Amino acid sequence: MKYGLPLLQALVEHFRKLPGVGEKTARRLAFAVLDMEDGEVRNFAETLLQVKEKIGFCNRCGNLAESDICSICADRSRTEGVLCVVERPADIYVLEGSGQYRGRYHVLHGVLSPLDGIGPEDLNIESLRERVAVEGIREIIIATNPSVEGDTTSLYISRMLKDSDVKLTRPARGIPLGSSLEFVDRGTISKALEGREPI
Amino acid sequence: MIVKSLHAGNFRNIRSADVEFSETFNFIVGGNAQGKTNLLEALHMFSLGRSFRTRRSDELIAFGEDFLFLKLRGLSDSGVGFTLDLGLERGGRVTASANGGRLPGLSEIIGMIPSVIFAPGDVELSSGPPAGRRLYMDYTAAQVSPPFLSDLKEYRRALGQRNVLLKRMQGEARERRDPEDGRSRRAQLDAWDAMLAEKGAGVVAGRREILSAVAPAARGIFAEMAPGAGDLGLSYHCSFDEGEGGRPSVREALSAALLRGREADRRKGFTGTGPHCDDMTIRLGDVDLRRFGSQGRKRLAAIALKLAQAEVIMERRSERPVVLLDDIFSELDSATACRVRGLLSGRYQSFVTSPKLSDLGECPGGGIVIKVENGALSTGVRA
Ligand SMILES: Nc1ncnc2c1ncn2[C@@H]1O[C@H](COP(=O)(O)OP(=O)(O)O)[C@@H](O)[C@H]1O
Ligand SMILES: [Mg+2]
Ligand SMILES: [Zn+2]
Repeated sequence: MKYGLPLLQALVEHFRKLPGVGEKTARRLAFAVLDMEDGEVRNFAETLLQVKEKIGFCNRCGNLAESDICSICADRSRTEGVLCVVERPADIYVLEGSGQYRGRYHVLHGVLSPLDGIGPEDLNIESLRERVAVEGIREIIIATNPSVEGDTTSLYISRMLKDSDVKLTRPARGIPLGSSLEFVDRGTISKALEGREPI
Repeated sequence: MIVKSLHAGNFRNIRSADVEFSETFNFIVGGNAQGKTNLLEALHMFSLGRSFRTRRSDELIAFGEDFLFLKLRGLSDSGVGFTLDLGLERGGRVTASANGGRLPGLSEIIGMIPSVIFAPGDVELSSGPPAGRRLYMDYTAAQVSPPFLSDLKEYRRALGQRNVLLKRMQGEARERRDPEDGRSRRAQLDAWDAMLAEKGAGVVAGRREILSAVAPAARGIFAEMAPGAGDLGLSYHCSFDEGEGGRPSVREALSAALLRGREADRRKGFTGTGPHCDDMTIRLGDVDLRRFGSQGRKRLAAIALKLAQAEVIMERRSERPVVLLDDIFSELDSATACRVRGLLSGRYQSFVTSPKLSDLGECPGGGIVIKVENGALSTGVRA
């Protein structure tokens, strides 16, 4: 689609790069921006820049954070000694949505996959061993996705920690095979967390 | 399932044809390169959604023409009549419809006419390398068990991952890398082995389960085709030691085998044992058919396997498949040919090609003869 307006065209292209946004939606979003107040647009643009600049990873768990430590690690009301291991920061928000889990997290930033050239040294996995020792972890729930790679990563972690006294569990049935955590509804997640089973 | 008639235009050398079929036995006769296999190919299009001979659909359109069409009338086993239409244009445009209603694509047509096809190369099933027999077991099991299919896919995925890891370790060994790295690789292999053992055990169990259904069916069919030739026996052949004394589970046995083979695997850069190396043993009486059987027996065994597969799938799907056999009679003696013919027309609607009318000799039984000459079809009732 041509507008004879290269700037508008560029904005539409930017929106189109976002997940789930097609040509039509991108156009609607671009026109919505044109309708915004000047101040609001400035704010929007500033936020986009700041998000990239200021948000990094939590030193302790690998979650997204605006300072050294993320809000969950900093939250004193969280249950001590319980960790939930996830593949990506986005998974935390899904699990938090279920409102069921009160422990803290550990983000791997991926899964083992030699085909993609990813081994343990490319993941946030070694630090998990350290956390177990330092933080006195009693229980770890491994909530990697139920894919071949997610399951294997879970096996890897359980072997890595087999000499510690940590109780390891994996969310039980209910999460459809091959689906990623992001697309599972909340009810299913709380049920899966309830029914978790020892590895 | 019964195919009542086929109307074809511009399908390879079959420029225009209108044939009514027999519900039992259709004997397709004609000299070399007259269009016999082309007719089977046209019928099979409704099962596979594409040709069993080529992936280039343009090849199917008669030389000098721009499109082909096929119209099939059929009758389901529950007595419901239906028509299927299929059209193909040069350049790939496809149309398909069922009972006059347009279907979104050719893939919707897949399986509408369940069928088994046996082409000359399929004798490989009993005489060729193990891969063909694994595919046979996997295909049959996947047709009747979705959990098997997911185990199989996951096994293959994990196997691919392990092999890439082994390749990397092979390279590192050559470069004499840091041993600390090696330790991390070993821990990774442990995890992949555990995954492989779990999924592999599922694959082996699924194959054994399907063999327990296929084996008696194949034995019965073979005995009818070749009475007195000995019992056809199928059994699963595990490539790894399943252990005798302690009788561990398949998972434990595979896990132990992977660990034992690890050094060798690391040197070769791939996984040398597991369900992807297993086989199906075919015995006739107590000899290994593949090693000691005659060419004729192997062919019959392969046909029996194909028909047994059809029986098992049919049992679970409750629709009888149509049987298509290309050029099998020229290799059979006349008594065997008659028995095969009898067995087929008693159970399935079948389409069998042969270069010579005399191949069926004096076999009793109904059915029709379809003569094929330079793409033209003419039907006659057998005397
Ligand atoms: N697209 C096509 N158009 C016309 N004739 C074709 C086409 N493709 C193949 N043929 C012809 O079909 C014949 C082969 O038919 P086929 O059914 O394989 O023979 P057979 O009777 O030996 O089984 C050959 O004569 C070949 O030239
Ligand atoms: Mg032929
Ligand atoms: Zn944190």
